[in-house]
Amino acid sequence: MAKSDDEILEKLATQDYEYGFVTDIDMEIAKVGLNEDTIRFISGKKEEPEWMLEWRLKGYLSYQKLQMPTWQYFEMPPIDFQGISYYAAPKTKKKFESLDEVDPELLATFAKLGIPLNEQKQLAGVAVDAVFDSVSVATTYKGKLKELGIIFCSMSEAIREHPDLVRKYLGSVVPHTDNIFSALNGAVFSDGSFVYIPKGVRCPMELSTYFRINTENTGQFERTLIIADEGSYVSYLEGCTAPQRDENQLHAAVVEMIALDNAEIKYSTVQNWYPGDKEGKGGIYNFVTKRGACRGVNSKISWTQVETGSAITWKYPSVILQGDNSVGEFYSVAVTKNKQIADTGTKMTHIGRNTRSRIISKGISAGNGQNSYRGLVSLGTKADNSRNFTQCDSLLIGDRCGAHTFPYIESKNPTAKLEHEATTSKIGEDQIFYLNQRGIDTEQAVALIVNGYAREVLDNLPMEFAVEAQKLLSLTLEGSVG
Amino acid sequence: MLSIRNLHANVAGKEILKGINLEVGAGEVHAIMGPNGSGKSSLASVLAGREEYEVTEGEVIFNGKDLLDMAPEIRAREGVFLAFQYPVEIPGVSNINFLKTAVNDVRGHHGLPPLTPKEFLQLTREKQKLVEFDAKLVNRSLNEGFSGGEKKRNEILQLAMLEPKLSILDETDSGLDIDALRIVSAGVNKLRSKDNAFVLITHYQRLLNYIVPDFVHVLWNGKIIKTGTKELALELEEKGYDWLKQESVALDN
Amino acid sequence: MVVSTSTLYDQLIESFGDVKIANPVRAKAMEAFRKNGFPTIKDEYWRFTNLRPFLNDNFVVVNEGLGSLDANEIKACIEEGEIEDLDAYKLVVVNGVLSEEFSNLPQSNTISIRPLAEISEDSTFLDKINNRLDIEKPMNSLAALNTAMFSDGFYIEIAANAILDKPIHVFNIYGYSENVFLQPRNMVVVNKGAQIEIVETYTCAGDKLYFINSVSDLFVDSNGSLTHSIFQNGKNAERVVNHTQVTQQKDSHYANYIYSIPQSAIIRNNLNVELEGSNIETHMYGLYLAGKNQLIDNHSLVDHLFPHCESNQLYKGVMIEGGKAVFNGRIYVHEDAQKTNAYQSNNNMLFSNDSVVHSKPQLEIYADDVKCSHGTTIGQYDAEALFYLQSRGVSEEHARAMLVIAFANDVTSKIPNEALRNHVEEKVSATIAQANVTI
Repeated sequence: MAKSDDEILEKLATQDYEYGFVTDIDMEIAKVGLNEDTIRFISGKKEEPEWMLEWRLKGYLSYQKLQMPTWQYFEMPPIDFQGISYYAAPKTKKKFESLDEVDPELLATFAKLGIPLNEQKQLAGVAVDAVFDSVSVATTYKGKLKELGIIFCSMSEAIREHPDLVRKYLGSVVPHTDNIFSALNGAVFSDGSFVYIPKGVRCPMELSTYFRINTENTGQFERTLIIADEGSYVSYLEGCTAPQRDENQLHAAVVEMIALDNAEIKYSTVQNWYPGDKEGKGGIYNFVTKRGACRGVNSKISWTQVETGSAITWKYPSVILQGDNSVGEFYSVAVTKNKQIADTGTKMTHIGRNTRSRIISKGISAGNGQNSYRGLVSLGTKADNSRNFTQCDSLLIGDRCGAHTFPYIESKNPTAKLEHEATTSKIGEDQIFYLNQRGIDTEQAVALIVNGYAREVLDNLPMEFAVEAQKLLSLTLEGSVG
Repeated sequence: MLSIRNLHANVAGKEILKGINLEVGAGEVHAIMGPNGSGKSSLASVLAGREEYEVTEGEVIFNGKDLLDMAPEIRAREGVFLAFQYPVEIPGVSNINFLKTAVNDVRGHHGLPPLTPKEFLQLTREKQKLVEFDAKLVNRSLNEGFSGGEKKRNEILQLAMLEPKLSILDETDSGLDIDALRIVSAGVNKLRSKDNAFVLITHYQRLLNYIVPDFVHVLWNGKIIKTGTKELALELEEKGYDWLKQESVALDN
Repeated sequence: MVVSTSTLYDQLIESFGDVKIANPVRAKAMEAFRKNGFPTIKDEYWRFTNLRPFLNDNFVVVNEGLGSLDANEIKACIEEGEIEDLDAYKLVVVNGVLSEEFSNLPQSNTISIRPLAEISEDSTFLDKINNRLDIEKPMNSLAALNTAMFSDGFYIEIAANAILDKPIHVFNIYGYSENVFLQPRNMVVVNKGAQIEIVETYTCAGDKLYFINSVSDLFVDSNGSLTHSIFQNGKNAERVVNHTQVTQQKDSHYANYIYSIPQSAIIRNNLNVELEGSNIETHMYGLYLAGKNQLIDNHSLVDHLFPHCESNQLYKGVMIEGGKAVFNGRIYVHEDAQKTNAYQSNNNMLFSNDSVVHSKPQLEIYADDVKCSHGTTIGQYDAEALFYLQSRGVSEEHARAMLVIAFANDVTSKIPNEALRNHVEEKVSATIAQANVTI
């Protein structure tokens, strides 16, 4: 083959992160540290009602009681929660009436990231909410969505404008007490997206949020809440990038989704936070709690994730299958290279009858990357005739990486059925040679094979996203095999 | 077009080609025959650049360039095509996506712009018709779940798409029934021109009824021990290889 | 954190004699137990098996050798453990002590069978066990306790290139007049090129409670072969935690067959196999048929340290009448262990609303050129197959039993020893035939 493994691995390791630039913009940043005052400051800045402040303080109480988990398959880096600033916002007007009022520097940033906020120039059919550091910058297509009764706005706005919905559902899927990061998020979350799809409405376009961490020494703690009322449908996309910095930055978001009777939510993520350099310096700690509840009968929640960024990715987008005949899906591609770590997977909790879940996880490890699949499938006593199918495959590229599988499988129901399969393999030299022989160079051959390997997952992404994800996968793994 | 001079090659430390000399000119069809283990497939593998084969002596010049110096994909882009004896299955990689990548990479190598999706589809359809291979390629993974015959026909389709200068067919006839053999051969015959050349590696004479060679070479023990015309193949069919082996041993002594 | 609510903990600490403290290995092991206490569900490897309810009774911590069984009682126990048509040597171990009187041992100078007590205070012996089993890990704290406190057990060593003509059937027999906490320790050493087959059965006399915390250390040297079968069919009063630590050298072969059927209240089998050379073959087959008030837990670990080894695990479970089961299989492939083939399969059938199964097939892989896979299923027999049998005239009830037995027999059929296989299959079939296996 043309290049030695070492050369190619070297090239892989030095592959630049495309979105590593910093936007120079005047920011208002909260004092570093975490205490009750920090929370009051954030709540005050956002002019929140009293109930919201109380809710946050409860989160803080839980945070103080909870311990850092120890079961993860990586060494937990020390995180100085007192060394982080919990609020950073562009220092302009608090509320934007239209895009014209947004700082042009900010708009330029999103344009550079390929996220045009200008509605005219936009890809048809995608409404975007852009979150810059802690606050939602702009939400597009609001008017059009409003006609259908769809609410798509920033979390701050939802707290002000739709308090009943927020109070009813916020924290109902991921309570403060769930884990230390969800508790922390509950206390200090600064913004995020809110979606409500009314009864019987099929959202005609993809809703998309774009997250960007910019400011140094801040954490990003957004909170997303998606509610699909009876018989409704929505597809939601999430993308993320961050500048290249030597320090690690914490991203501890919470996403909650609720699907009522006959409703369907599809949530897609292409996660490309800054992964750190080849020595493992810098990068985002992506510690996110994502969970959906299929509360209604025949409801469906589907997670698709393509995880290529972050120094550490640690998350388990999950589905609680409460309603009879409800369906949960999880499709994941996670790539780790250099010194990246991923410990990701899902939880499918079958409570209702005839519930079904499907898990397809494709891990790809290269360089010194460590990739773990961790999953829980639980078939409860009342989950009669429920089904689960799980396929989790690992692909190893090079002999310095690791691929690990930790599935927790439990059944308490004699009528339920479950099937779990896992394989570990490497890219076959004969496969690469075959493609070489047809004139395709090794790098491209790897990209093709990896995309083929991940296809079952990529096929579940909406079109525009799938193309981007495919490109990202090829880029991420460029030159990873000799 | 192709000059092989005194080619020696090892695999796993064992000498398997022991001085091959072969000249292939444009427009010619050569058949290389020989018993099992004589080195036929090894020759194909060395020409295509399979890593396990180590060339210890000799040279291979392809259109004035040193072929052995090139990476496998460069050889392919320069116009060397190997139809594999056992095409590998690659799950999840769609046939069509693969073909498009290959065609455009070869084009890029020659300074040609990539085909537009429309042109590409048109070309595929045209070539599929030419080689009578009407399988739906869009939704199927590369060779996955293909029957033996389908795999071989897929190889010929790729040959047609990539328009190589030199095509090496490694036991393309093995495992094919008469109908498949006829279709594959017809495809090859349609693709023959004064500008390209074929090397057919085969065990049996029957392929040569369908694709008539200009030269027939007998490979034994890593060397070409006899060269003749298509009549030689018939003679081999009748008499087997033993008489040639004896001749060769006598010569060596 | 130490859970010492159970007075058993204090009793164990106290009963650790002065003599043993003088021995550094035992002292270290006791310190590990003192620190870690009994495993709790907070430990990842004990999370589905709560030992506490099984430790709350009053137990007398006894040294091996004491006890109260007369010759007739021993004979009765041997009869109970007997396997029909099994042509084997007999090694009878009563309350942890080898009984020459009741045994029928091979008369050959290539094999040495003796009480472990004869060599147990030997420093090389203690080092040998200490090097393999990581007693500092909280998950192994019961094994640590055993290392600290064991007094006897059996020791078998077969000389290089010797092949034992018949299997050795080990009758582990216990009989006490009060509730006891026992800690037998056994060792098997298979030297280079030697071959041996061992079959173990357990019988507890009387109706007292038995908590058996046993550890076996098995060493299979290069080219050696050890076939090891364990049949667990104890009474409800039996509580078993069994740790088997296997070390294999290059080109060796080890096969473990473990079949557990009702009624022991709890069975926890830890099977750790370290592959310390190339071209090693390891097979692990388990069947757990968990019945009423029973919890059967199998934890296995295959540690691939060198290239070109093959390991294969197949565990099947049938849960009836509220029986509970845990399976945790681990394959660990180290960086240097290229060309490893490691497979793991766990299949389960549940037939009761009160039954639970926890399965956790784990892969930890640090080498790229490997073939590793695992699969788990939880389900029922095929409805189509049930219909097929019925359409051939089999009653629905029988057809069900047939299908469940067929499912279980997939593992029992792996036993190479015909007499043992027939014995196990008979017991398994009888248990299933009596159970309600309707969904």
